[in-house]
Amino acid sequence: MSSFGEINEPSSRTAWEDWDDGLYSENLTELRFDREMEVPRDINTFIILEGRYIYDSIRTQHNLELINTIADVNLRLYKTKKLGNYVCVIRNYSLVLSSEIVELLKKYINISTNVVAMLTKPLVEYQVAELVTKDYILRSLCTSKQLSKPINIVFPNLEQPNIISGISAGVLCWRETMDQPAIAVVCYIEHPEEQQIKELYDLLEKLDVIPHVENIHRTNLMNSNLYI
Amino acid sequence: MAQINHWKSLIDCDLSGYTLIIPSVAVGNVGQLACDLVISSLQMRKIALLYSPALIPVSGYDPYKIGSSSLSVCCELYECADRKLVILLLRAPLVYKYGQQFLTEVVDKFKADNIKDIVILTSSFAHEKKHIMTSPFRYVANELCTHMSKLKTLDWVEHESKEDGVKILGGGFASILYQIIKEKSVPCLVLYKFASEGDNIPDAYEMVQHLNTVVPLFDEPDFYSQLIHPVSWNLMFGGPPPRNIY
Repeated sequence: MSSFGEINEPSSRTAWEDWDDGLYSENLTELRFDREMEVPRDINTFIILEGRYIYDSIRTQHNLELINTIADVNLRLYKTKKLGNYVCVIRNYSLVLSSEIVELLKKYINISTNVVAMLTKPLVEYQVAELVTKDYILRSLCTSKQLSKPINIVFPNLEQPNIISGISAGVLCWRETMDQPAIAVVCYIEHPEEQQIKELYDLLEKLDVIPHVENIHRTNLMNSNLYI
Repeated sequence: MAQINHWKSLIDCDLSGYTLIIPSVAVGNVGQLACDLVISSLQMRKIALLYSPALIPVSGYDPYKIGSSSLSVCCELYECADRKLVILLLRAPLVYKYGQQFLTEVVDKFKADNIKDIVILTSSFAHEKKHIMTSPFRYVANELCTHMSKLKTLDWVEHESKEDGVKILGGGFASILYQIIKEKSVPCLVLYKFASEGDNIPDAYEMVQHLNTVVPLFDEPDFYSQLIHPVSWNLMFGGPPPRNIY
């Protein structure tokens, strides 16, 4: 849980730009994919994986083929070798750029039958009236239109007033506006370096992002500063 | 230039003669909280969604109904037919790069819908209040504002405009939106309160009370008893403290 004395600012207050001085009128850079690529005619499932925990979980997988990147925002776009699903992996990006990233992903999202997003958030941001005693909490958010092919793993709905923000939220909002199905699975986690969340790995396996859950062993050595 | 705002209409409504309220994302989120309070109290219905790259995306389930599985997005339009009122609620800040175009498209859309007027609710940094003995509220109205006669009868303090137009420090996009509305010749009133970040719920209550003076929404005698706290305000400052700190 939270450390005593920790100040937890609502994210809406930390992300906004200061409009008073008009400092942003110049130097507005445009994001773009590093390579020009042809977009396929259709995609079965487009998967968005947000955050360092999920990135660390899949970075050594061999059934993903890297097809494009946006280096400025640490975005990598993969294709799964077996099912041909597209996987967008992103971490450490500026929240202010989220909608612009969603704009770049739209050409893939619009032609996808299903969209599944997975993201992690600190457990301290999970707000419920009861005391949270678990090490991690999994919740989901769905568009009004259900996925044509259910993910077959049931996660409870995200309780109000909890919200998600960023690319996963943007994709969900866009799909809702377009009357297309999407689901976001949010994992509130306290100590990412110590956790192996089986439900998340099961979902990643089902989506063909990782081969077999049994073969996955997260190495925490790279994330640890014990030997540095 | 291609349109960046994508509307999804949920219920068709004729908005002719309606008052549109837009909260600016500003210091203490006072305008947004006030709109939350009005939507919850009048049990307004959601009639449209708006997606735009100008908005930092946020999403969750319906913030006015516990247990709902209806998805809420960053910008939604709520309607109250009895009061001829619509609120365009923004749940996230605007991205400066797309802000001007977003606001212009919003004003064009509602002007085409023949709305009566626009009210912008916002806030300004408390330290910008120079005359400390005066009310913490200020207003700005353009020449077309339909509430001018009412405003003249009230003891409200007008915003001190400088030569370079209206500038509300900490008020987010309110000044830019006001300018756009003025150029498009739509009646407009800006109401703002000097505030600081913190528990801004009392600011929201006061803001609704002030708004109620010019745009009648609630009956005066029992004003406060008619206001219903939205469920999204629960846990605004987090859940219960962890036991291991004791």
